[in-house]
Amino acid sequence: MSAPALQAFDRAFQALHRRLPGAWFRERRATAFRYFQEAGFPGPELEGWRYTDPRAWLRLELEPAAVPVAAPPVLPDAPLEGREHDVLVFVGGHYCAARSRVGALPPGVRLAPLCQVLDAGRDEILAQALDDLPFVEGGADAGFSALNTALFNSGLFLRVPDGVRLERPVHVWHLEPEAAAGGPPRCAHVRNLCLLGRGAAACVYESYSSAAAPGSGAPKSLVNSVTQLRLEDAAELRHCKLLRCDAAAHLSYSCAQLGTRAHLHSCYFGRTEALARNELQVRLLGRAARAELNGLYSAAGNGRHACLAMVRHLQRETRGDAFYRGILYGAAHGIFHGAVHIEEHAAHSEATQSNANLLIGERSRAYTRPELHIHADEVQCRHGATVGRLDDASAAYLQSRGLDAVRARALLVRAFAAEAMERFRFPDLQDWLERHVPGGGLSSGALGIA
Amino acid sequence: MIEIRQLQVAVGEQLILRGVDLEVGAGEVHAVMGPNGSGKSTLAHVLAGMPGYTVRSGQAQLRGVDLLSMEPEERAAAGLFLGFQYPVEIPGISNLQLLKEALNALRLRRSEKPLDAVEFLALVRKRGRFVRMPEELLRRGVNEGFSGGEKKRNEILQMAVLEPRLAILDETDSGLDVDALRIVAEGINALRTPGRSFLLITHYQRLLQHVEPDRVHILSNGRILCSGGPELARAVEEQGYEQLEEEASVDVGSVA
Repeated sequence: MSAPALQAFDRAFQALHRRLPGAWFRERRATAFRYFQEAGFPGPELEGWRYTDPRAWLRLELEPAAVPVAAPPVLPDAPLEGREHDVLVFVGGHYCAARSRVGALPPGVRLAPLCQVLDAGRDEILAQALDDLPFVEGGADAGFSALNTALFNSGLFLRVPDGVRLERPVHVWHLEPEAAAGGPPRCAHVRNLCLLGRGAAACVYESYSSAAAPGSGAPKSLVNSVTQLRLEDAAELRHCKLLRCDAAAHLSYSCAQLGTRAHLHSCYFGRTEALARNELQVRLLGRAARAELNGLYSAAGNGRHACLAMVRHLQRETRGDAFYRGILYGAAHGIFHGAVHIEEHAAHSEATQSNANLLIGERSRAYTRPELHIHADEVQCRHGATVGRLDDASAAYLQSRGLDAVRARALLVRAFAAEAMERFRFPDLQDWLERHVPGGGLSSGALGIA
Repeated sequence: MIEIRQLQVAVGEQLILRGVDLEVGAGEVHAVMGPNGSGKSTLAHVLAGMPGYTVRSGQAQLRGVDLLSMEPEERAAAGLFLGFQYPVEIPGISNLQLLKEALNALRLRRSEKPLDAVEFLALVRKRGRFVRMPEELLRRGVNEGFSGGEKKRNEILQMAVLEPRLAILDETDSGLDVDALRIVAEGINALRTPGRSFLLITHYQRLLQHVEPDRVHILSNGRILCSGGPELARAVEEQGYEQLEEEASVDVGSVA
C-alpha cells in the first residue's frame, strides 16, 4: 500500500472499526477490509476506470470523520423545499437527527438511518441485503465497494412491505460540510438501502451536496457511496439522484434488482468540477420487469464526469431504456459507458440506449461507449451516440431576435438539456431543476415545456 | 429608415455585393428582386449581422445609426428584424419561450419593463391572429416539425410580437402554397404602419400581388440594376431577368 490514502484508510479502520455501528456486522467489515487491502483501488488499467483515474484524490490523506460533524446553520439549496416529504440528513457521512424529519408512516414501513438499524441488533434480512451486491469482493474493481462495506457509518434504510405505497417522497440528503480551515481532506462512506416488497411503491430522492461554495478553496474530499435498490414483484420505485459537489470527488455504485413486472424509473442529475463516477447496474430478474434510466450530467473546469449504465436482462419480456445527455464545459471530460446484456432466457425483451454529448469548452471531450451483448432471439435493441458542438446558425438566429451571444448560447445548452429534463418526470423537483439546469432556467419555464 | 451606400460584401474571397445603393423611407415597402446568385440573401444577412460575411466597404445606416458596426442583437434592439428564408429548428426551447426571451431582451435594451407571463401571453394571442397560428404550435420547440408554411408564418408572428422598425423578409414567399402565401401577405399588410418599413426579398412577383410595394429594385450581379414602381415587378414576370439585364447593359454601354 503505497498511496497515502491507503495508509490513511488502514489507520482509520484500525481506529474506527470497533466504534462503527452494528457490532454484529464487525466481522463482515473486517473481511471486506482484508479484501480491500489485497485488491487496492481500481485504476485506469481497468477499462471501466480508464477515464476516471481516482489517483489524484488518493494522493491525499483522506480521513473519515470519526465523530459526527455539526450541520451548517442553514442547509443550502434544499431540493424539495416547500414540498411535503420525509427527509434524512447526513453530514460528512453521519446521521444528523436534528435536521431530519420523518412523519407518520404506514404500518410495517421502516424508514431510518442505517446506523440505527445496524445498532438495533443482528438482522438477517439486512445482513443478506448488504451482501447482495453484484460487485461484492471478487470483481477486479470492487475496491471502493469493499472499502464502503468496511467503513460506512450510515445512510438510508427504507423497507416498504408488500402492497404498501408510500405517499410522501423520501429524501436522503448527504451533505459535505465545509472543512475547518487547515483541517485534513475527508472521506465519507455512505451506504443506502431501499427494499420494496411485492406491489410496494416509493419515491426516493438521493442527493449529495456540498456546503462549500465551488472554488472556495476548501480541501478536497471524497464521497464513496453504495446504493442498493431491491424491487420485489410488481414493486415501483422512482429514484432520483442529485449531485452538486463541485469540489469533492464522488464515486458511487448503485445496483438495482427487479422482480416480475417491477418498474424502476431512475434519474440522475449531476455536475462536477472534480471527479464524479456514477455507476448503475440493473438486473431485470423477473419477467416483464422494466427499468428506465435517465441521466443529465455536466462537468466544468478540469472535471471528469462518468456515467456507467449496465442493464442485464435475465427474463423474458423485460425492457430497459437508458437515456443520457452530457454537457462539457472548459477542459472537462464526459464519459458514458452503457452496456446491455440480454441473456439466453430473455426472449422478447427490448432495450434502447441513447447518449448525446454537447462540447462547450474548446478543450472539452466526450467518450461514449455503447455495448450490446445479445444472447437471445427475437429481441429489439437500439442504440445511438453522438458528440457535437453548439450550432452557430442557431446561435445567430437567436441573436437576430435580440438575445446577446452569451444568452443565446446558454439557451441552446438549455435546449439540449430539455430532452433529458422532460424524461425526469419528478414534478416536485421541477423548480430546483429549473434553477440548476445547465444553460440556466427560463423565466418562461411554465409557458413551454410542461 | 435605412440608407445603404456603396456596400461591398464578400464571402471568403468572392465578392458578392459590388456596391449596393439603396434607400428605404419610413413606412415604405420596397422589394428587392433578382435572379439566383444575384446577392439578395447576402444583402439581407449582412444587414442583420449574420456571420460569414466580410464587409469590404460601404455603409448602412438605420435611422442615422451605423448598422454595420453593431452586434446582431444590437441591430435587433435598434429595430431591425430579419425573416429568414430557412428558419432554424431548435427542439427543447418552445416558440413561446424564445419569443418571451427575445421580447424581454429587446425591452430591457430599450429600458422598458419586461412583460410578465400574463401580459406576454395576451400579446402573443392578439398578434397570433394576424397569421392564424394555433397556440398548440407555439408550445412546440422552435419550428420543430413545422411545415415550410408554418415556419414562415412563425417568422411573421415573431415580427408581429417584436414590432421592428425595419423588417427584411428574405424570400418569405418561397415554398408557400396559395393559402399560406395569402395568410403571410395579410400578416405583412396588417403590420404596415407609417413608422415601419419593409424590405421584401423575393424571386417572384406573386407576393407583390398581395403586398403592394412602393418601390421595386432589381439586384443583379451584386448591384442594383434598376429601380422602379410596382410595374417593374410585372415587367420581370413578363420578360424575365435576362431581358432586363440586356437592356441595362445597353444603357450602361451607351452611357460609357
